[in-house]
Amino acid sequence: MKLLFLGCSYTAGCELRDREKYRFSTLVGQKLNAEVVNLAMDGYSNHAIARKFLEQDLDQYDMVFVQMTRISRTEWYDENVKAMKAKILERNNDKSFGQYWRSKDKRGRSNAKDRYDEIKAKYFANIEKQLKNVQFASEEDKWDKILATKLRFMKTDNLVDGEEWWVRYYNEIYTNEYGKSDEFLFYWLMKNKLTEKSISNLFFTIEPKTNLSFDLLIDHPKYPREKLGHPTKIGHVMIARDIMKLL
Amino acid sequence: MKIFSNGSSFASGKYPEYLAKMLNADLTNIAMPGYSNRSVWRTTTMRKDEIKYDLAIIQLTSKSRTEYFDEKQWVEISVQLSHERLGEKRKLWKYWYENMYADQYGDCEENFAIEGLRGHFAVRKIPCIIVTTDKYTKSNKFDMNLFDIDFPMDKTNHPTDFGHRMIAKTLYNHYETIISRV
Repeated sequence: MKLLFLGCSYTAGCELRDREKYRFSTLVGQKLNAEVVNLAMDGYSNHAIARKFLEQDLDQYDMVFVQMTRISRTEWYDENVKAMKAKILERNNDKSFGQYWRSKDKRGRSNAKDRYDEIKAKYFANIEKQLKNVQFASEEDKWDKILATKLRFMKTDNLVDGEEWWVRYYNEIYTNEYGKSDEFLFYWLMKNKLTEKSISNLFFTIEPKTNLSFDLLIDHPKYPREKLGHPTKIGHVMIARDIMKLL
Repeated sequence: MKIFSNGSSFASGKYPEYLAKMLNADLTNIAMPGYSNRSVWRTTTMRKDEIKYDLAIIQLTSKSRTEYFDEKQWVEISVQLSHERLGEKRKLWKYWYENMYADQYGDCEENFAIEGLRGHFAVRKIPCIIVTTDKYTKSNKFDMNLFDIDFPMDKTNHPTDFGHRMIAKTLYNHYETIISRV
């Protein structure tokens, strides 16, 4: 038996100490004694989930579990890896080095004090290396994930009148109506395909305001969460148990 | 026999009507000039329509087109940026096409529309013919590229009335083959 799981960070097991071991897809696989393929990724949008869905040879799966996400998320193809570079620079700068330095305990800082400049140089050399490596970015890496929740997730270095294109997109173009139609279209694209192929399936979501019929809301407050809001290890056990009840 | 048709400016012309006449069928045609692939996909699948069609003929278009909802209505976006409702947003979309849009994105959107539409009709057991007017499509999932038909065009680069008749005739001639394939 072979199972396919698709989704965002919730299904990927974000914030778990050992994602592959503790996420609900693994637990469901163990219960069913099945091989599990989990293609979920942090930051995935419904666009990305549907794209990955269509890339798969679905006929090899006995069951497909699709976790859909917040309707405002999207992605675009960053042909020139401009956004990737911008995001590396956004994450790594003098401020982030300061945080890194302060994260060392007092004793560690004291021991390394003589080597401060050397450590700083090494830190920034690593950033340079990351920037050089973007030329080897895979096709998948070029799909830039856009989340409306934080400015850093919209950083692409595409500025219109000094403002990020995606910030303006969410302020001036995007509407809830668009997000809802996106969700509807991708939901039915995947659902119809699975129905057509007679593959058993379950659909989950983390979007609380959805009008569509999902089997499970995995962002339900009954599941305990980590700091960033993802299910804890116990949360994943509870989700797996609820999934098993649906089978 | 009942035929459903959707598409952009080509399909909002006469060929669906001529084809319906050849097949002695009733036609429901919701095509609109300027529609993007996403608009065609959305308006087809979100349509509350309980009619059991015998055939769907869908015409997809340039993969770079898209749409957005401006709180009152859907606005079609094409690289020409000619929609009158664009206003201040024209600048943003111009930047999108000049600096951010890539063919890979368009290919992905086109594939979504094809697969979304195929699935929609497959579960309803309605035979479906999907054609395109994107000359440069890389997709092999279309039943036909209308530009493979050497039809006469008017000044706006759309088929003349005779061109529409040629398209309808070609679709009719291919009908049996296409239906046996779908």
